[in-house]
Amino acid sequence: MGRPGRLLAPLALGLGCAQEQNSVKQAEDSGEALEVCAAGGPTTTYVIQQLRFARNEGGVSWGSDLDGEVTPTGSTGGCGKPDLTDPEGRPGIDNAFAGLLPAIEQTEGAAISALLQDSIRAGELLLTFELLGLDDLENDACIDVQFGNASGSPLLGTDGELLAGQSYLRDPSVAPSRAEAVVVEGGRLIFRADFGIKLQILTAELDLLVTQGEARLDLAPDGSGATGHITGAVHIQTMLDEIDKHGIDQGLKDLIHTVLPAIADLKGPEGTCDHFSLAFEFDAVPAFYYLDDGLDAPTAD
Amino acid sequence: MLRRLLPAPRIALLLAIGLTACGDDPAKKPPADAEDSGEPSARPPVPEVAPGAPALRRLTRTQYENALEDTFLVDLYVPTAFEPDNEVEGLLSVGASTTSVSAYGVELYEQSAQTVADQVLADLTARTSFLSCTPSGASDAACAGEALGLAARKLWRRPVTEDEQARLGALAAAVGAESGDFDEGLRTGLVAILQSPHFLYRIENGAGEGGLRPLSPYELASRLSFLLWNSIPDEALLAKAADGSLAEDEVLEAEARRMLDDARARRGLRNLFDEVFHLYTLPTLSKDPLAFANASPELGPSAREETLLGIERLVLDEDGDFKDLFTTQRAFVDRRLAALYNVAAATPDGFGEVILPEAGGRRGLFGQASFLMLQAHANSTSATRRGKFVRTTVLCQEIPAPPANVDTSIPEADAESPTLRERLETHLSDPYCASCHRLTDPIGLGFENFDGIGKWRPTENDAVIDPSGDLDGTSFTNAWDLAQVISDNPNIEPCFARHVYRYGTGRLNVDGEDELLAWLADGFTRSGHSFRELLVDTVLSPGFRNVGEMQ
Repeated sequence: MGRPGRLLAPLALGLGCAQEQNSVKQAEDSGEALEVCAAGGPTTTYVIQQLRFARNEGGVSWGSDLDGEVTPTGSTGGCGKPDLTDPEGRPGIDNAFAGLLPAIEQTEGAAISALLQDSIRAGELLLTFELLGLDDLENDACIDVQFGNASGSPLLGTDGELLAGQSYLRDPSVAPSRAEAVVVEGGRLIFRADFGIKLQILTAELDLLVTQGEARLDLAPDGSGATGHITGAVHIQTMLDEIDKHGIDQGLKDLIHTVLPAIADLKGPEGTCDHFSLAFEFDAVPAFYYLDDGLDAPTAD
Repeated sequence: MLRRLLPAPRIALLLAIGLTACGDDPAKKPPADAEDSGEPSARPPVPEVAPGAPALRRLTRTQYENALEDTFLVDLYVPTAFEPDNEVEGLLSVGASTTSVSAYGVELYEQSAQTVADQVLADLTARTSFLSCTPSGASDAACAGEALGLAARKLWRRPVTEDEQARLGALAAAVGAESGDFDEGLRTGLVAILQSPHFLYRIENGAGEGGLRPLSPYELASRLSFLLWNSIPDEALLAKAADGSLAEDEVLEAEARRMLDDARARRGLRNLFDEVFHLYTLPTLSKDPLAFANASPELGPSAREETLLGIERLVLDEDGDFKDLFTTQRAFVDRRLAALYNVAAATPDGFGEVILPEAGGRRGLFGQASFLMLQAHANSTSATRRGKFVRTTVLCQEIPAPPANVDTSIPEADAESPTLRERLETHLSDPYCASCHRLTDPIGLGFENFDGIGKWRPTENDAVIDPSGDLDGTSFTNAWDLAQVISDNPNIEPCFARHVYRYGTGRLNVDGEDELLAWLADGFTRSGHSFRELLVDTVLSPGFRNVGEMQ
């Protein structure tokens, strides 16, 4: 039997190959309007230093309303799964996976959060936001945001966390996603895109696609970092297929096959409830990409 | 609050010293033609000089290693910890003429010589660097003498007499005969050469009578090569010494310029600034990991390399204006330093050039981690140390050391005194402290936006840091401004002229050299602050080529 954390981390993160119908929005797809937003200002980059699953604390959880619906308990809408409310009182928050977290932690995957953090420290889960054309950390009507994966062995501070301000290599194996955004309310940024996340946990290298996604960043006005959350949908069958490929213990595999479809709360393009929502909370610190890493940096051109 | 433990007379003396702290101000000795007439005046002739007495300098550890490498053409491991090099007025090169060797130190040299000899004989390249004959037997004195004579000529930086060569050969032959092994004899001969005072000491006695006695050609060659390469002369230089031509101005200048174009000049320049800026202490510098998240054992060596790379590029590659060292936005950083400076690294591996943004508030030497780390405490900044470094090392002004029985601690931060500026008010308001601290602290406070390892910080204990101040009447608003103010200070030229002169001659300058130092500083200015020209000028100066009366 494999180690519990090793089995449940892929489960939680929704392993899967990219679905063609929900392909990550490629940077090159960005249109003319994006070029205007990115032009003229500096690029500010953040790397996620701490990542954790957003929890359901009595019906309250960080996350986003992905389907535009508020599904109360007992309703048949929203695939019949009740939505949550975020700590700021916004209803309709989709984060079905949060309901599964306690069960995972009580059974096999108690170390899942630690594994995520270990992956970050080991350079196996380096997620970046590049804010292109950002002139003002508190108010900017038009910027481009590029979400991407970095690689390499990061420098750690004496506190054991990623050292702020360090430089990373781009990971060319995962396509970045890019979209236009605004910075409002003194530093809040909303960014909607699909998120391709390359994750290596122990020996398993996994490609996670979070579709219909939304990221929110609250930028510290002094540039020292950002906090926020990423919410998105994971295609259940794709993830189950991926889990099957990884030779997971049959008992756990059966469990996963049972519980994942049960938390489906979002509809896919074909209108069936075949996705579940999940949300991460994160803390990010300033970062850079190397000036010369052999890869093209995102530009307005 | 500082405790006052000094008796009144000592306090008065301290105050008097403090008030005259800039008494040796090199800028107060301008060249005779310093008045600005609008047109550059012709450079005055070299002034007469009465140099200091000759000094006997022990090779520093670095020079010992460089000499071995240049002789045997391989990088040899020297495992022995010699007795430490001594520092005088901030320079090991000057301290080298004040050190002595204890009986234990002699043993250390012997151990090192044996280890080196073993390595030399075991390495084909090293072995063939001096052994070209084929021994006829274990006791072939002629072959051993020839090989050892060649090695001794390089290591002793002078011709080996026939008698010396014969004695080395006889020693090797005797040991070879006894052991039945030619190499064992050779090894003994090498150990003897490496323990000889002719190797371990730089002998610069000069010749003739009076107060201006020329160095012998070989002494001059050695002084030149240790200044520019921090190592022994090469064959070309020894040849110029052998034919006597090195004493000619043109030949000496040509040799100096040739040597500055040689790769070994990087080693020499690095050592010079390693000493002047105390960079050699960075690799062992320890910082509190709880106070600084960026602290790491690699940071000190990286910081040292950054400063030295910048100087190398400025002086040897570009022959640029040396004052740019203080204000340049160009930096050579590895990824660890780039993270500390919050800039994108140029490359994942090694060091790369980046341009520091003005918004980062960091530029030049005083924005580099080497300065900011060294001139700080293990867990905090030190405005006093940073200011003292500027005064003493960059402007060559003198700051008296604090009396031994004064409590130099500063108050803990609290709501009333959140930043160092408020906490240092004690130093600046107490007359017992102010005489010195008013010279250092206002400068050091200008760098308070950089913490004890050089990371930018806008606040301290949640209070906004005020980095403004003034340097001898010239105000500045922050470290960025302060870099320019320091760079514009007229003490820079005479100060670095003095550093080079002291480093090259291995002793402190004496009164009879004041005019020469002012002349060198003037030349440095006229050259557009070309450090290369300062080095060449120094080499050609009579103070470098002569020694004073033997004492």
